[in-house]
Amino acid sequence: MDLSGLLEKLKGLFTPSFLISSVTPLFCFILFNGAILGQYNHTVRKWVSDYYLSSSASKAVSGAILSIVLLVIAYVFSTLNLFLLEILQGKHLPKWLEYSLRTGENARLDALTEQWQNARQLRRQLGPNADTWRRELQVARDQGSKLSECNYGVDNNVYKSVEGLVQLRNAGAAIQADVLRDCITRLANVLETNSANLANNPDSIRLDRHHLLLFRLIGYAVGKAEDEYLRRFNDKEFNFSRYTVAPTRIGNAAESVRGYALSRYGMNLDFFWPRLQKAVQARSDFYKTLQDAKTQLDFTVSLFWLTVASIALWIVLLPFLSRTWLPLISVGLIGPALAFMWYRMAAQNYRSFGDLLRSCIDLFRLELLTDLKVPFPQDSQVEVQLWDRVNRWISYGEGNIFVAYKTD
Amino acid sequence: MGRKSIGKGATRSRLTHWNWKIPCFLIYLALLVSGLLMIETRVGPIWRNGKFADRIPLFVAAYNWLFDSERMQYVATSDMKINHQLLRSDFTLPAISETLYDYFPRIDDIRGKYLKKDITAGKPIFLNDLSPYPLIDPQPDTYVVNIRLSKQAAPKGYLEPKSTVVIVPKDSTDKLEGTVLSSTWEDAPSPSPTKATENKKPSPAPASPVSQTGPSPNN
Repeated sequence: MDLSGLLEKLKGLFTPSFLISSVTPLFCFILFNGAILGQYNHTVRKWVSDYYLSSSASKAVSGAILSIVLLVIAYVFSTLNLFLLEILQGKHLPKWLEYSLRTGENARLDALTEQWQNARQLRRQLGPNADTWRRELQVARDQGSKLSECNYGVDNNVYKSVEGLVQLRNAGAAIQADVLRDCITRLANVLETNSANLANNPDSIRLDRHHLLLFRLIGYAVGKAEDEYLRRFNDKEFNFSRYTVAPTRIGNAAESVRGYALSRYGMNLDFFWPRLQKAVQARSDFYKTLQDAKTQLDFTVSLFWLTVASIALWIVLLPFLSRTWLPLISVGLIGPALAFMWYRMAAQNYRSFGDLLRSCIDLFRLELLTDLKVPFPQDSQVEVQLWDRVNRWISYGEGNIFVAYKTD
Repeated sequence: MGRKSIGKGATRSRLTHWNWKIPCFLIYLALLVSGLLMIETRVGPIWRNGKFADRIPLFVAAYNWLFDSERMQYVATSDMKINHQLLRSDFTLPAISETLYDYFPRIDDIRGKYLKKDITAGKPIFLNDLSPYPLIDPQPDTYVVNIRLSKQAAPKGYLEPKSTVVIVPKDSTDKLEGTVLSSTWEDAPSPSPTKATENKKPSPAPASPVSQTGPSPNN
């Protein structure tokens, strides 16, 4: 085989995904640890200085050998990627740690559920009442407009209450139903006994402004409650599965995708994903986006584990090498912070990846049915029943299941 | 009521979550402290005449730079006047921990520079008190002109400070008489020793050509 053929073969072997998710983190790892080692080891320092002083030919040979060694290590490392990701998903952990971690995730789920339930309750309290409250204010104003006086100063408690709601709006906070209701009742009382239609009367102008303001604040409170409800629902739905709680954030992000397929379509995603991939691959743009998201995820997972390995290495070695405290303290403090940051980024990337997987399920599941030569269902309920039958037939291997074939 | 019970459950669960994190954190902290103790047992414990500066030189240097910057400056070895051009033998490192010497200004930032003010022996030399060119002190009823001369055939030290000169502009026959205030002779830079090779008590360095032509302190 000639050189260009070999290079082409190598190019196919080392995809951009491999270079980004395995080679780059490993290169950073070697560079970082080599730099620290160089501070304490004369041989390393000498080797680096000799390398820079060497001739171009010698540099090229050394560089080529190093690159090949790096690629081989990276390739071995890339085979561990799945295992390392599974550990971050909470698999292969000691039971005690798994239990402790799951306790934490349960607490997070409880908190999210509580927030979601609060948001749902607020939405239910505000939504149906908004128009009634607006009418109540208008009726009170109409009644008060028959009067010819207005007493509504800035020291009025109702004025302060409305301004308090404005502050909540400015802070982007949700307005609780009882607080809003109380404010509406009190302002309605003021509107009944004072005219908000008197020209050149500062108190009347102020009352008129507050009436309009509260009118808008009702709309804000309803909109915010709706938005909060959706946000909390998404947080809960896309961070956790409906069926199980994994010990880690990343594990729960993964479970949420599995739970999505099962709750929406009754699909066993673990089994059908490799088959679904065929349909996704046919859409090259979408498949590339999916691959990019996976590359980003693998990149941060690799960085996390290599950072953990560096911390462990130097926490053991530095007490025997360093004469000062700072290197050990730096590794001890900055290292975990960095690892934590990579972990959070990996979790974030997994959520993005999970979003794409959910889109894949929504968009390509019917193409999978086409590939399986199974006719399309008539509606969503029939579809769930169909996937259940297909699951039992293919995934579980139950022999007495009947699934019709598409014959045309 | 239901909401409250959910809230309590979440709080309890969160506390359980922290129950295992705190021991893990303490174990990690103990590991770090034992690492520091290991360093102490290797290099001689700090509680037996050890110096903090030797253990955390960067922090001590940063502290000194911020709050006690005099300690992080070279000190004058003798009394020197304004416009004195500094030689390596004119300044030395102060008597502080050697580990802090790495955080001192570069010697080349000081050597060859001119003092902007008088300085007494043992006092720190701040970079702000140095100038790359000698200062010209304005006098009443005088006209100060900076003239750059190409080296031409003039030997070094041709125009010493206090030398009397006559200037004749090309387009005029008027002769103007004046006195040289200062002169510098810019040679190509010579290789200078690195800080690592510097002695703690510097030996007098040979005077550079610049110093031979430099202005006298009385100028």
